[in-house]
Amino acid sequence: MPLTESGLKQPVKASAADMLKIDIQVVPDELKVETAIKHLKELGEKFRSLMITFEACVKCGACAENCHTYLGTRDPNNIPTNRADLLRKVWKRYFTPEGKLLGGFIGAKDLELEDIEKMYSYFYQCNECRRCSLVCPFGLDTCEVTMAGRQLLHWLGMYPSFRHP
Amino acid sequence: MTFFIMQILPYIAVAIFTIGILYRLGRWASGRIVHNITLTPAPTTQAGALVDIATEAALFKSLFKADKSLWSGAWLMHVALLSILAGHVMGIGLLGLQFYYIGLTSAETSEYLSSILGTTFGILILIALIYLLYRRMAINEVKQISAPSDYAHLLLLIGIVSVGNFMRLFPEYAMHYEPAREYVVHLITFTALTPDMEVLHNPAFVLHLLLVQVLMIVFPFSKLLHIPGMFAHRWIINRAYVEPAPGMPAQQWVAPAIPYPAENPLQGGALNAINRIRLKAACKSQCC
Repeated sequence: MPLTESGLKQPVKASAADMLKIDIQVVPDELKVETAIKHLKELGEKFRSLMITFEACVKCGACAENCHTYLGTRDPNNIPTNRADLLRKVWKRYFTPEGKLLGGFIGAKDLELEDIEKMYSYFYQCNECRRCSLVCPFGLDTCEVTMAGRQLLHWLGMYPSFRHP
Repeated sequence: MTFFIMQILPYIAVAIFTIGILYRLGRWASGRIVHNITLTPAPTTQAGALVDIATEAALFKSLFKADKSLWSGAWLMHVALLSILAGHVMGIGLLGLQFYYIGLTSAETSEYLSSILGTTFGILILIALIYLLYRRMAINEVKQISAPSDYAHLLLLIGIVSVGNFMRLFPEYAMHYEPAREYVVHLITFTALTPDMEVLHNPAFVLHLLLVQVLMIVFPFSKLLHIPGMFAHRWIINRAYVEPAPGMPAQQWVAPAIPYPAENPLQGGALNAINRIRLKAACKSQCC
């Protein structure tokens, strides 16, 4: 995984020409934020499990020591609940009454372009083993959030290159 | 102010609590269970799934396997909380005579037992809550994932419990069962309070009630939703694994390509091309 200017580890992105071959238009940077919010609303409202995962986590931290990506990297963003928080913060900020009202106090945050770059880095560091779901007292499925996140990034035209390097 | 807290706010709090919970549950219900994401090892029958969910709810099984120290704090806290809630219902509803009514003890022993149990669980929950707060501040990972509201919820609960314990441990601020019952009856029957009622003159009780009402108002708009959330999510993740998943259309895959008969005049490349086109068309109509 190459490093970007901000120090994030990211997979090499597929080029716009390659994305067109699978019928995906790469969304230009200035439209990414609003497109992402629109797609997040679709995803959250469609998947009940995703919505509950966004709204019922108590941040107990039981998942941290059980995630081997976190154990390997010790990067705080790789704690499963924090990784899901990349999307959860946005969901709370735009689609729940408490997030609209209280914002940062309950851990909600406006979506910015650099958050999307962060998502592209961290959602591809998860290997979808669902250990976090197994140890979570409520069975909240961070793996599903990661998959939804990858789907979202795919719609934005951010996808790992499928060419052999 | 006291009048507002004791007479008006309870109705507002209960209304926000009820409508808020219904709103959140309704929103969850509007989403669909799209994937068959049963977590393995899964039972194969619905009864087995219900047993799994019940053990999770009663004993926090998966948390026990994952983190013993967190489990001891969390389980103790929840059991004490449930006991205290039941104790409030018993104390106010039956004046602490519940053990007498089921024929276990005499009336005095029943009241004495209620009092002892209430004080014990009050102190236990305070210990558990302080441990959970300590854990949130002391363990690096948990600190990194905490938002300000996570601390605020713990502090609010510690506040409620401390005031409650204070009333139990200091007799001059004690609130007995009878005046509390009189107050609740007034609230339920929508009767106005009279200024000479004892509940209005006990500042500790007013503060206790105010904090509880804050908790009720906050409840539907916070992570405290984990209580209904647990059952709603475990219903998706712990149900019996069957194929296809309940509520999802049963799709049977039918091989769409033309069979390869020996007498077919089209051989090799031409037939493959036709098969490819048919395959594409069939796939579009069946699954996409």
